Amino acid sequence: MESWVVATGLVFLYILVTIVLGFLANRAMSLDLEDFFLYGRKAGFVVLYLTVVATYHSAFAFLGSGGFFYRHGIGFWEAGTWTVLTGAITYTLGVRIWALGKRFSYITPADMLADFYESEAVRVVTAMVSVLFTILYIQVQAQGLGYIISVASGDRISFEMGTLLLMIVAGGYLMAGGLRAVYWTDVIQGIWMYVAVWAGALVLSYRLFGGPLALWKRVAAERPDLLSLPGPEGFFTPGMWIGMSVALSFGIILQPHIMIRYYTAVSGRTIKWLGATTPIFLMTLYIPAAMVGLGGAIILPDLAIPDQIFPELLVRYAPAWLTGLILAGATAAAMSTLDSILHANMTVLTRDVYQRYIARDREPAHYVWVGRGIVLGLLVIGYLLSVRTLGFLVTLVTLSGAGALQLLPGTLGVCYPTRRPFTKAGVLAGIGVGLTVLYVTLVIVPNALGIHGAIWSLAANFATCIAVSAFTKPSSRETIGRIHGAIEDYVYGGGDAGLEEALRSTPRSLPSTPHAADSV
Amino acid sequence: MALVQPPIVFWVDTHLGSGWVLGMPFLYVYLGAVYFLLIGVLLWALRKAV
Repeated sequence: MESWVVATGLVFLYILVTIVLGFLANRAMSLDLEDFFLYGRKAGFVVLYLTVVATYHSAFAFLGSGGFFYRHGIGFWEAGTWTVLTGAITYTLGVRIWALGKRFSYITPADMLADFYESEAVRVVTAMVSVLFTILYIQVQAQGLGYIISVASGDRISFEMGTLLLMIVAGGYLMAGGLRAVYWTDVIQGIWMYVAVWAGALVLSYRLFGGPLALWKRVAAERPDLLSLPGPEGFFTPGMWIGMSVALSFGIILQPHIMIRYYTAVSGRTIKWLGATTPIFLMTLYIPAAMVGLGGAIILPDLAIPDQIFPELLVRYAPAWLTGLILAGATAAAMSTLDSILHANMTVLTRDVYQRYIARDREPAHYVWVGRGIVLGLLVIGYLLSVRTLGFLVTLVTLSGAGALQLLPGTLGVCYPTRRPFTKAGVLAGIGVGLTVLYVTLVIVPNALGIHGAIWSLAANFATCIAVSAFTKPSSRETIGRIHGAIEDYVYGGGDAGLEEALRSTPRSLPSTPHAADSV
Repeated sequence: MALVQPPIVFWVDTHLGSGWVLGMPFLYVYLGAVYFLLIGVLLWALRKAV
Protein backbone atom coordinates (compact mmCIF):
# COMPACT_ATOMS: atom_id res chain seq x y z
CA MET A 1 0.00 0.00 0.00
CA GLU A 2 1.36 3.40 -0.88
CA SER A 3 2.62 5.49 1.99
CA TRP A 4 0.31 8.40 1.30
CA VAL A 5 -2.70 6.08 1.58
CA VAL A 6 -1.57 4.88 5.00
CA ALA A 7 -0.75 8.36 6.24
CA THR A 8 -3.94 9.96 4.95
CA GLY A 9 -6.02 7.03 6.14
CA LEU A 10 -4.76 7.39 9.71
CA VAL A 11 -5.46 11.10 9.70
CA PHE A 12 -9.00 10.47 8.47
CA LEU A 13 -9.47 7.72 11.06
CA TYR A 14 -8.66 10.29 13.72
CA ILE A 15 -11.12 12.74 12.15
CA LEU A 16 -13.82 10.05 12.24
CA VAL A 17 -13.20 9.58 15.97
CA THR A 18 -13.75 13.28 16.59
CA ILE A 19 -16.99 13.25 14.59
CA VAL A 20 -18.31 10.33 16.65
CA LEU A 21 -17.38 12.10 19.88
CA GLY A 22 -19.14 15.23 18.69
CA PHE A 23 -22.28 13.20 18.01
CA LEU A 24 -22.14 11.59 21.46
CA ALA A 25 -21.61 14.97 23.10
CA ASN A 26 -24.68 16.30 21.32
CA ARG A 27 -26.73 13.44 22.76
CA ALA A 28 -25.48 14.24 26.27
CA MET A 29 -25.90 17.99 26.00
CA SER A 30 -28.69 20.05 27.53
CA LEU A 31 -29.74 23.18 25.74
CA ASP A 32 -28.78 25.77 28.35
CA LEU A 33 -26.03 28.35 28.47
CA GLU A 34 -23.95 26.83 31.23
CA ASP A 35 -23.93 23.41 29.64
CA PHE A 36 -23.28 24.56 26.05
CA PHE A 37 -20.74 27.23 26.92
CA LEU A 38 -19.23 25.95 30.20
CA TYR A 39 -19.74 22.16 30.32
CA GLY A 40 -22.15 22.78 33.21
CA ARG A 41 -19.15 23.88 35.36
CA LYS A 42 -18.57 20.18 36.00
CA ALA A 43 -15.21 19.48 34.42
CA GLY A 44 -13.28 17.02 36.56
CA PHE A 45 -9.49 16.85 36.80
CA VAL A 46 -8.71 14.38 34.00
CA VAL A 47 -10.91 16.05 31.39
CA LEU A 48 -9.81 19.55 32.41
CA TYR A 49 -6.14 18.57 32.46
CA LEU A 50 -6.22 17.14 28.97
CA THR A 51 -8.28 19.96 27.49
CA VAL A 52 -5.96 22.60 28.96
CA VAL A 53 -2.78 20.95 27.71
CA ALA A 54 -4.32 20.12 24.33
CA THR A 55 -5.53 23.69 23.93
CA TYR A 56 -2.25 25.21 25.09
CA HIS A 57 -0.14 23.20 22.66
CA SER A 58 -1.32 23.88 19.15
CA ALA A 59 0.07 23.28 15.68
CA PHE A 60 3.00 25.27 17.03
CA ALA A 61 3.97 22.31 19.20
CA PHE A 62 4.56 20.23 16.08
CA LEU A 63 5.64 22.81 13.59
CA GLY A 64 6.76 26.02 15.25
CA SER A 65 8.70 24.67 18.22
CA GLY A 66 10.86 22.37 16.10
CA GLY A 67 11.40 25.28 13.74
CA PHE A 68 12.49 27.52 16.60
CA PHE A 69 15.05 25.01 17.85
CA TYR A 70 16.21 24.51 14.23
CA ARG A 71 16.79 28.19 13.66
CA HIS A 72 17.66 29.64 17.07
CA GLY A 73 19.09 26.71 18.92
CA ILE A 74 18.91 25.56 22.50
CA GLY A 75 17.64 28.92 23.75
CA PHE A 76 14.12 27.80 22.94
CA TRP A 77 14.33 25.37 25.85
CA GLU A 78 13.40 28.53 27.70
CA ALA A 79 9.87 27.40 26.79
CA GLY A 80 10.00 25.27 29.91
CA THR A 81 10.02 28.49 31.93
CA TRP A 82 6.74 29.78 30.65
CA THR A 83 5.07 26.39 30.90
CA VAL A 84 6.04 26.05 34.56
CA LEU A 85 5.06 29.66 35.18
CA THR A 86 1.67 28.94 33.61
CA GLY A 87 1.15 26.26 36.22
CA ALA A 88 2.04 28.63 39.05
CA ILE A 89 -0.30 31.30 37.67
CA THR A 90 -3.10 28.76 37.39
CA TYR A 91 -2.48 27.63 40.99
CA THR A 92 -2.68 31.17 42.38
CA LEU A 93 -4.62 33.44 40.05
CA GLY A 94 -6.63 30.75 38.30
CA VAL A 95 -8.24 29.49 41.47
CA ARG A 96 -9.44 33.03 42.29
CA ILE A 97 -10.90 33.44 38.81
CA TRP A 98 -12.68 30.11 39.28
CA ALA A 99 -14.06 31.10 42.71
CA LEU A 100 -15.49 34.36 41.40
CA GLY A 101 -16.94 32.63 38.34
CA LYS A 102 -18.68 30.08 40.53
CA ARG A 103 -19.93 32.67 43.02
CA PHE A 104 -21.23 35.21 40.56
CA SER A 105 -22.08 33.04 37.52
CA TYR A 106 -19.49 34.53 35.20
CA ILE A 107 -19.30 32.99 31.76
CA THR A 108 -16.72 35.18 30.00
CA PRO A 109 -13.63 37.14 31.12
CA ALA A 110 -15.56 40.34 30.39
CA ASP A 111 -18.31 39.28 32.83
CA MET A 112 -15.81 39.38 35.69
CA LEU A 113 -14.09 42.62 34.71
CA ALA A 114 -17.30 44.48 33.86
CA ASP A 115 -18.89 43.43 37.15
CA PHE A 116 -16.00 44.61 39.35
CA TYR A 117 -15.30 47.84 37.47
CA GLU A 118 -19.04 48.57 37.01
CA SER A 119 -18.42 49.42 33.41
CA GLU A 120 -19.87 48.39 30.08
CA ALA A 121 -16.90 50.08 28.43
CA VAL A 122 -14.61 47.62 30.21
CA ARG A 123 -16.84 44.79 29.00
CA VAL A 124 -16.70 45.96 25.39
CA VAL A 125 -12.93 46.56 25.42
CA THR A 126 -12.26 43.23 27.12
CA ALA A 127 -14.43 41.41 24.59
CA MET A 128 -12.72 43.17 21.69
CA VAL A 129 -9.24 42.38 23.00
CA SER A 130 -10.29 38.78 23.69
CA VAL A 131 -11.66 38.22 20.20
CA LEU A 132 -9.34 40.35 18.10
CA PHE A 133 -6.10 38.86 19.36
CA THR A 134 -7.26 35.27 19.20
CA ILE A 135 -9.26 35.24 16.00
CA LEU A 136 -6.05 35.09 14.03
CA TYR A 137 -5.13 31.91 15.82
CA ILE A 138 -8.03 30.43 13.88
CA GLN A 139 -6.13 31.31 10.74
CA VAL A 140 -2.85 29.96 12.09
CA GLN A 141 -4.35 26.62 13.14
CA ALA A 142 -6.31 26.35 9.89
CA GLN A 143 -3.15 26.88 7.87
CA GLY A 144 -1.38 24.27 9.97
CA LEU A 145 -4.20 21.81 9.28
CA GLY A 146 -4.14 22.46 5.55
CA TYR A 147 -0.40 21.94 5.45
CA ILE A 148 -0.59 18.70 7.46
CA ILE A 149 -3.23 17.20 5.16
CA SER A 150 -1.35 18.17 2.02
CA VAL A 151 1.85 16.59 3.39
CA ALA A 152 0.05 13.42 4.49
CA SER A 153 -1.60 12.98 1.10
CA GLY A 154 1.48 13.86 -0.93
CA ASP A 155 -0.35 16.95 -2.22
CA ARG A 156 -3.23 14.87 -3.54
CA ILE A 157 -5.47 16.81 -1.18
CA SER A 158 -4.75 20.48 -1.67
CA PHE A 159 -3.93 22.87 1.14
CA GLU A 160 -7.22 24.71 0.57
CA MET A 161 -9.34 21.55 0.57
CA GLY A 162 -7.57 20.18 3.64
CA THR A 163 -8.08 23.44 5.51
CA LEU A 164 -11.75 23.58 4.58
CA LEU A 165 -12.44 19.97 5.49
CA LEU A 166 -10.82 20.07 8.91
CA MET A 167 -12.34 23.41 9.81
CA ILE A 168 -15.77 22.03 8.96
CA VAL A 169 -15.15 19.00 11.18
CA ALA A 170 -13.96 21.09 14.15
CA GLY A 171 -16.75 23.62 13.75
CA GLY A 172 -19.26 20.82 13.24
CA TYR A 173 -18.62 18.98 16.49
CA LEU A 174 -18.47 22.26 18.37
CA MET A 175 -21.85 23.33 17.03
CA ALA A 176 -23.30 19.90 17.78
CA GLY A 177 -22.01 19.36 21.29
CA GLY A 178 -20.77 22.71 22.60
CA LEU A 179 -17.90 22.74 25.07
CA ARG A 180 -18.67 19.13 26.00
CA ALA A 181 -17.66 18.07 22.45
CA VAL A 182 -14.56 20.22 22.63
CA TYR A 183 -13.51 18.69 25.95
CA TRP A 184 -14.18 15.11 24.92
CA THR A 185 -12.23 15.48 21.69
CA ASP A 186 -9.46 17.27 23.61
CA VAL A 187 -9.05 14.18 25.81
CA ILE A 188 -8.16 12.15 22.71
CA GLN A 189 -6.19 14.99 21.17
CA GLY A 190 -4.09 15.64 24.28
CA ILE A 191 -3.02 12.02 24.60
CA TRP A 192 -2.48 11.53 20.86
CA MET A 193 -0.34 14.61 20.35
CA TYR A 194 1.93 13.83 23.31
CA VAL A 195 2.52 10.23 22.27
CA ALA A 196 2.99 11.26 18.64
CA VAL A 197 5.64 13.91 19.29
CA TRP A 198 7.67 11.64 21.57
CA ALA A 199 7.34 8.62 19.25
CA GLY A 200 8.32 10.62 16.19
CA ALA A 201 11.30 12.28 17.83
CA LEU A 202 12.67 9.08 19.31
CA VAL A 203 12.25 7.08 16.09
CA LEU A 204 13.94 9.79 14.05
CA SER A 205 16.77 10.22 16.53
CA TYR A 206 17.53 6.49 16.48
CA ARG A 207 17.17 6.16 12.69
CA LEU A 208 19.26 9.21 11.84
CA PHE A 209 21.79 9.39 14.66
CA GLY A 210 21.71 6.17 16.67
CA GLY A 211 19.86 7.70 19.60
CA PRO A 212 19.40 11.00 21.48
CA LEU A 213 22.89 11.02 23.03
CA ALA A 214 24.50 10.52 19.64
CA LEU A 215 22.28 13.31 18.31
CA TRP A 216 23.64 15.73 20.91
CA LYS A 217 27.22 14.77 20.08
CA ARG A 218 26.73 15.43 16.37
CA VAL A 219 25.07 18.77 17.03
CA ALA A 220 27.99 19.75 19.28
CA ALA A 221 30.48 18.67 16.61
CA GLU A 222 28.78 20.17 13.55
CA ARG A 223 26.65 23.04 14.88
CA PRO A 224 28.02 24.18 18.26
CA ASP A 225 26.40 27.57 17.63
CA LEU A 226 23.05 25.93 18.26
CA LEU A 227 24.02 24.94 21.80
CA SER A 228 24.73 28.32 23.34
CA LEU A 229 23.04 31.63 23.98
CA PRO A 230 21.94 33.86 22.38
CA GLY A 231 21.83 31.45 19.42
CA PRO A 232 23.06 31.68 15.80
CA GLU A 233 20.97 34.77 15.00
CA GLY A 234 21.35 36.40 18.39
CA PHE A 235 17.62 35.98 19.11
CA PHE A 236 17.73 34.92 22.76
CA THR A 237 18.98 38.05 24.41
CA PRO A 238 18.21 38.51 28.12
CA GLY A 239 15.41 40.92 27.22
CA MET A 240 13.78 38.46 24.82
CA TRP A 241 14.19 35.66 27.35
CA ILE A 242 12.32 37.54 30.06
CA GLY A 243 9.78 38.94 27.62
CA MET A 244 8.81 35.58 26.18
CA SER A 245 8.55 34.12 29.68
CA VAL A 246 6.02 36.80 30.60
CA ALA A 247 4.15 37.02 27.30
CA LEU A 248 3.73 33.30 26.82
CA SER A 249 2.65 32.56 30.39
CA PHE A 250 0.42 35.44 31.51
CA GLY A 251 -0.48 36.29 27.94
CA ILE A 252 -1.80 32.81 27.17
CA ILE A 253 -3.60 32.43 30.52
CA LEU A 254 -5.52 35.65 29.85
CA GLN A 255 -6.70 34.57 26.44
CA PRO A 256 -10.39 33.71 26.57
CA HIS A 257 -10.05 30.04 25.60
CA ILE A 258 -7.87 29.41 28.66
CA MET A 259 -9.64 31.73 31.12
CA ILE A 260 -13.01 30.21 30.27
CA ARG A 261 -11.59 26.81 31.17
CA TYR A 262 -11.03 28.01 34.73
CA TYR A 263 -14.76 28.67 35.02
CA THR A 264 -15.61 25.12 34.00
CA ALA A 265 -13.81 23.32 36.82
CA VAL A 266 -15.94 21.38 39.28
CA SER A 267 -13.95 22.73 42.26
CA GLY A 268 -11.13 25.04 43.27
CA ARG A 269 -9.12 22.00 44.28
CA THR A 270 -9.34 20.82 40.66
CA ILE A 271 -7.79 24.12 39.54
CA LYS A 272 -4.93 23.67 42.02
CA TRP A 273 -4.31 20.14 40.79
CA LEU A 274 -4.29 21.60 37.28
CA GLY A 275 -1.75 24.23 38.20
CA ALA A 276 0.61 21.77 39.83
CA THR A 277 0.48 19.06 37.16
CA THR A 278 -0.09 20.61 33.72
CA PRO A 279 3.52 21.87 33.58
CA ILE A 280 4.67 18.26 33.47
CA PHE A 281 2.93 17.71 30.13
CA LEU A 282 3.52 21.18 28.76
CA MET A 283 7.21 21.34 29.61
CA THR A 284 8.21 17.82 28.64
CA LEU A 285 6.66 18.19 25.19
CA TYR A 286 9.58 20.47 24.32
CA ILE A 287 12.13 17.75 24.99
CA PRO A 288 11.35 15.80 21.78
CA ALA A 289 10.84 19.10 19.94
CA ALA A 290 14.48 19.94 20.74
CA MET A 291 15.63 16.64 19.28
CA VAL A 292 13.62 17.24 16.11
CA GLY A 293 14.76 20.82 15.61
CA LEU A 294 18.41 20.44 16.53
CA GLY A 295 18.80 17.08 14.79
CA GLY A 296 16.93 18.43 11.78
CA ALA A 297 19.43 21.27 11.49
CA ILE A 298 22.11 18.63 10.91
CA ILE A 299 20.16 16.42 8.50
CA LEU A 300 18.35 19.11 6.47
CA PRO A 301 20.44 22.24 6.96
CA ASP A 302 19.00 24.33 4.16
CA LEU A 303 15.30 24.12 4.81
CA ALA A 304 13.61 27.26 3.53
CA ILE A 305 10.81 27.11 6.12
CA PRO A 306 12.17 25.81 9.44
CA ASP A 307 8.64 25.19 10.76
CA GLN A 308 8.34 22.31 8.34
CA ILE A 309 11.29 20.36 9.79
CA PHE A 310 9.24 17.74 11.65
CA PRO A 311 6.96 16.74 8.74
CA GLU A 312 9.87 16.90 6.30
CA LEU A 313 11.92 14.49 8.42
CA LEU A 314 8.94 12.17 8.84
CA VAL A 315 8.11 12.00 5.16
CA ARG A 316 11.72 11.28 4.21
CA TYR A 317 12.88 9.01 7.00
CA ALA A 318 9.96 7.48 8.94
CA PRO A 319 7.75 4.53 7.96
CA ALA A 320 4.39 5.49 6.48
CA TRP A 321 2.33 4.17 9.41
CA LEU A 322 4.35 6.21 11.89
CA THR A 323 4.19 9.29 9.70
CA GLY A 324 0.43 8.90 9.53
CA LEU A 325 0.11 8.46 13.30
CA ILE A 326 2.23 11.51 14.00
CA LEU A 327 0.53 13.67 11.40
CA ALA A 328 -2.76 12.63 12.99
CA GLY A 329 -1.25 13.83 16.26
CA ALA A 330 -0.37 17.11 14.61
CA THR A 331 -3.92 17.34 13.33
CA ALA A 332 -5.09 16.71 16.88
CA ALA A 333 -2.88 19.48 18.21
CA ALA A 334 -4.16 22.01 15.70
CA MET A 335 -7.82 21.00 16.01
CA SER A 336 -7.72 21.05 19.81
CA THR A 337 -6.65 24.67 19.75
CA LEU A 338 -8.85 25.62 16.82
CA ASP A 339 -12.03 24.28 18.43
CA SER A 340 -11.18 26.02 21.71
CA ILE A 341 -10.63 29.37 20.04
CA LEU A 342 -13.82 28.99 18.01
CA HIS A 343 -15.69 28.16 21.22
CA ALA A 344 -14.18 31.06 23.17
CA ASN A 345 -14.89 33.61 20.46
CA MET A 346 -18.41 32.20 20.07
CA THR A 347 -18.99 32.53 23.83
CA VAL A 348 -17.65 36.08 24.03
CA LEU A 349 -19.56 37.31 20.99
CA THR A 350 -22.80 35.61 22.09
CA ARG A 351 -22.63 36.64 25.74
CA ASP A 352 -20.81 39.97 25.72
CA VAL A 353 -22.22 41.37 22.50
CA TYR A 354 -25.40 39.66 21.34
CA GLN A 355 -27.02 38.85 24.68
CA ARG A 356 -25.89 42.10 26.22
CA TYR A 357 -26.77 44.62 23.57
CA ILE A 358 -28.91 43.05 20.86
CA ALA A 359 -31.31 40.51 22.32
CA ARG A 360 -31.80 40.40 26.07
CA ASP A 361 -33.88 37.99 28.08
CA ARG A 362 -34.39 35.36 25.41
CA GLU A 363 -34.62 31.66 26.08
CA PRO A 364 -31.28 29.86 26.59
CA ALA A 365 -31.87 27.76 23.48
CA HIS A 366 -32.00 30.97 21.45
CA TYR A 367 -28.48 31.93 22.51
CA VAL A 368 -27.20 28.43 21.85
CA TRP A 369 -28.45 28.65 18.26
CA VAL A 370 -27.01 32.14 17.88
CA GLY A 371 -23.71 30.77 19.13
CA ARG A 372 -23.85 28.07 16.49
CA GLY A 373 -24.45 30.70 13.84
CA ILE A 374 -21.49 32.70 15.10
CA VAL A 375 -19.28 29.61 14.76
CA LEU A 376 -20.33 29.37 11.12
CA GLY A 377 -19.36 32.99 10.60
CA LEU A 378 -16.01 32.47 12.32
CA LEU A 379 -15.33 29.44 10.11
CA VAL A 380 -15.92 31.52 6.98
CA ILE A 381 -13.68 34.31 8.23
CA GLY A 382 -11.02 31.86 9.37
CA TYR A 383 -11.02 30.01 6.05
CA LEU A 384 -10.75 33.21 4.02
CA LEU A 385 -7.89 34.39 6.22
CA SER A 386 -6.10 31.08 5.90
CA VAL A 387 -6.04 31.04 2.08
CA ARG A 388 -4.96 34.64 1.64
CA THR A 389 -2.00 36.54 2.96
CA LEU A 390 -2.61 40.17 3.74
CA GLY A 391 0.06 42.49 5.02
CA PHE A 392 -1.87 43.80 7.98
CA LEU A 393 -2.62 40.28 9.13
CA VAL A 394 1.05 39.58 9.57
CA THR A 395 1.18 42.61 11.84
CA LEU A 396 -1.82 41.46 13.82
CA VAL A 397 -0.34 38.02 14.33
CA THR A 398 2.81 39.69 15.60
CA LEU A 399 0.74 41.61 18.13
CA SER A 400 -1.57 38.80 19.14
CA GLY A 401 0.89 37.02 21.38
CA ALA A 402 0.95 39.90 23.85
CA GLY A 403 -2.46 41.44 23.16
CA ALA A 404 -4.35 39.53 25.83
CA LEU A 405 -1.55 40.40 28.25
CA GLN A 406 -3.05 43.89 28.45
CA LEU A 407 -5.90 42.45 30.53
CA LEU A 408 -3.46 41.56 33.31
CA PRO A 409 -3.65 44.74 35.42
CA GLY A 410 -7.44 44.74 35.33
CA THR A 411 -7.61 41.06 36.20
CA LEU A 412 -5.17 41.39 39.08
CA GLY A 413 -7.20 44.34 40.35
CA VAL A 414 -10.25 42.11 40.57
CA CYS A 415 -8.56 39.10 42.11
CA TYR A 416 -6.16 40.68 44.63
CA PRO A 417 -7.78 43.00 47.17
CA THR A 418 -5.77 46.14 47.88
CA ARG A 419 -6.36 49.34 49.78
CA ARG A 420 -6.38 51.36 46.57
CA PRO A 421 -8.21 49.37 43.95
CA PHE A 422 -7.82 50.08 40.29
CA THR A 423 -10.60 52.06 38.67
CA LYS A 424 -12.41 51.60 35.38
CA ALA A 425 -10.71 54.72 34.01
CA GLY A 426 -7.33 53.39 35.07
CA VAL A 427 -7.92 49.98 33.50
CA LEU A 428 -9.21 51.43 30.24
CA ALA A 429 -6.38 53.96 29.99
CA GLY A 430 -3.87 51.24 30.77
CA ILE A 431 -5.19 48.97 28.04
CA GLY A 432 -5.14 51.80 25.51
CA VAL A 433 -1.60 52.84 26.34
CA GLY A 434 -0.45 49.24 26.55
CA LEU A 435 -1.77 48.36 23.10
CA THR A 436 -0.21 51.50 21.62
CA VAL A 437 3.17 50.74 23.14
CA LEU A 438 2.82 47.13 22.02
CA TYR A 439 2.32 48.26 18.44
CA VAL A 440 5.32 50.58 18.64
CA THR A 441 7.64 48.04 20.26
CA LEU A 442 6.71 45.07 18.11
CA VAL A 443 6.11 46.71 14.71
CA ILE A 444 7.75 50.13 14.47
CA VAL A 445 10.78 49.68 16.69
CA PRO A 446 10.76 45.92 17.28
CA ASN A 447 11.96 44.90 20.73
CA ALA A 448 13.72 48.17 21.46
CA LEU A 449 16.94 47.85 23.47
CA GLY A 450 16.66 44.09 23.09
CA ILE A 451 13.61 44.02 25.35
CA HIS A 452 10.52 42.16 24.17
CA GLY A 453 7.62 44.45 23.28
CA ALA A 454 5.43 42.57 25.75
CA ILE A 455 7.52 43.91 28.63
CA TRP A 456 7.42 47.47 27.34
CA SER A 457 3.66 47.35 26.85
CA LEU A 458 2.95 45.73 30.20
CA ALA A 459 5.12 48.24 32.04
CA ALA A 460 3.35 51.12 30.29
CA ASN A 461 -0.03 49.56 31.01
CA PHE A 462 0.63 49.12 34.72
CA ALA A 463 2.15 52.57 35.10
CA THR A 464 -0.83 54.19 33.40
CA CYS A 465 -3.38 52.10 35.29
CA ILE A 466 -1.83 52.94 38.66
CA ALA A 467 -1.44 56.63 37.88
CA VAL A 468 -4.94 57.15 36.49
CA SER A 469 -6.56 55.04 39.22
CA ALA A 470 -4.98 57.31 41.83
CA PHE A 471 -7.03 60.24 40.58
CA THR A 472 -10.28 58.63 39.49
CA LYS A 473 -13.26 57.22 41.29
CA PRO A 474 -13.24 53.51 42.11
CA SER A 475 -16.23 51.20 41.92
CA SER A 476 -18.85 51.39 44.66
CA ARG A 477 -18.06 50.06 48.11
CA GLU A 478 -20.83 47.53 47.70
CA THR A 479 -19.30 46.02 44.56
CA ILE A 480 -15.75 46.02 45.86
CA GLY A 481 -16.92 44.55 49.16
CA ARG A 482 -18.96 41.89 47.42
CA ILE A 483 -16.22 40.74 45.03
CA HIS A 484 -13.12 41.23 47.15
CA GLY A 485 -15.06 39.86 50.09
CA ALA A 486 -15.80 36.73 48.10
CA ILE A 487 -12.10 36.38 47.29
CA GLU A 488 -11.06 36.76 50.91
CA ASP A 489 -13.78 34.39 52.11
CA TYR A 490 -12.59 31.77 49.65
CA VAL A 491 -8.81 32.17 50.05
CA TYR A 492 -8.66 32.78 53.81
CA GLY A 493 -11.94 31.24 54.84
CA GLY A 494 -13.76 28.08 53.90
CA GLY A 495 -12.34 27.30 50.46
CA ASP A 496 -14.53 25.04 48.32
CA ALA A 497 -16.77 24.05 51.22
CA GLY A 498 -17.23 27.66 52.27
CA LEU A 499 -18.12 28.69 48.74
CA GLU A 500 -20.74 25.95 48.45
CA GLU A 501 -22.24 27.13 51.74
CA ALA A 502 -22.28 30.72 50.52
CA LEU A 503 -24.05 29.66 47.32
CA ARG A 504 -26.68 27.78 49.30
CA SER A 505 -27.38 30.68 51.61
CA THR A 506 -27.20 33.52 49.10
CA PRO A 507 -28.55 33.39 45.53
CA ARG A 508 -25.94 33.83 42.79
CA SER A 509 -26.40 37.05 40.93
CA LEU A 510 -24.83 39.05 38.18
CA PRO A 511 -25.96 42.55 37.30
CA SER A 512 -28.17 42.15 34.27
CA THR A 513 -28.49 45.77 33.22
CA PRO A 514 -25.79 48.04 31.84
CA HIS A 515 -24.15 50.16 34.45
CA ALA A 516 -26.06 53.45 34.37
CA ALA A 517 -23.15 55.52 35.62
CA ASP A 518 -20.86 54.35 32.88
CA SER A 519 -20.36 56.37 29.73
CA VAL A 520 -18.99 54.27 26.89
CA MET B 1 12.27 30.98 39.01
CA ALA B 2 15.26 33.32 39.15
CA LEU B 3 17.49 30.32 38.46
CA VAL B 4 16.09 30.09 34.91
CA GLN B 5 16.07 33.81 34.19
CA PRO B 6 18.78 36.32 33.25
CA PRO B 7 21.33 37.01 34.54
CA ILE B 8 21.75 33.61 36.18
CA VAL B 9 20.93 31.47 33.17
CA PHE B 10 23.27 33.47 30.94
CA TRP B 11 26.02 33.20 33.56
CA VAL B 12 25.50 29.44 33.60
CA ASP B 13 25.72 29.34 29.82
CA THR B 14 28.89 31.43 29.71
CA HIS B 15 30.78 29.69 32.51
CA LEU B 16 29.44 26.16 32.45
CA GLY B 17 27.75 25.83 29.05
CA SER B 18 30.60 23.94 27.42
CA GLY B 19 30.29 21.10 29.91
CA TRP B 20 28.38 17.88 29.46
CA VAL B 21 26.18 15.94 31.89
CA LEU B 22 24.95 12.43 31.17
CA GLY B 23 25.84 12.86 27.51
CA MET B 24 23.84 16.08 27.10
CA PRO B 25 24.86 19.76 27.10
CA PHE B 26 25.09 21.25 30.57
CA LEU B 27 22.71 24.15 29.86
CA TYR B 28 20.04 21.75 28.63
CA VAL B 29 20.36 19.53 31.69
CA TYR B 30 20.53 22.51 34.05
CA LEU B 31 17.33 24.05 32.72
CA GLY B 32 15.54 20.71 32.73
CA ALA B 33 16.59 20.02 36.31
CA VAL B 34 15.38 23.42 37.51
CA TYR B 35 12.08 23.01 35.67
CA PHE B 36 11.46 19.68 37.37
CA LEU B 37 12.46 21.24 40.70
CA LEU B 38 9.92 24.02 40.21
CA ILE B 39 7.22 21.49 39.37
CA GLY B 40 8.19 19.72 42.55
CA VAL B 41 7.56 22.93 44.47
CA LEU B 42 4.10 23.19 42.94
CA LEU B 43 3.35 19.58 43.86
CA TRP B 44 4.60 20.21 47.39
CA ALA B 45 2.29 23.22 47.69
CA LEU B 46 -0.59 21.08 46.48
CA ARG B 47 0.18 18.37 49.00
CA LYS B 48 0.44 20.89 51.82
CA ALA B 49 -2.80 22.56 50.65
CA VAL B 50 -1.04 25.93 50.48
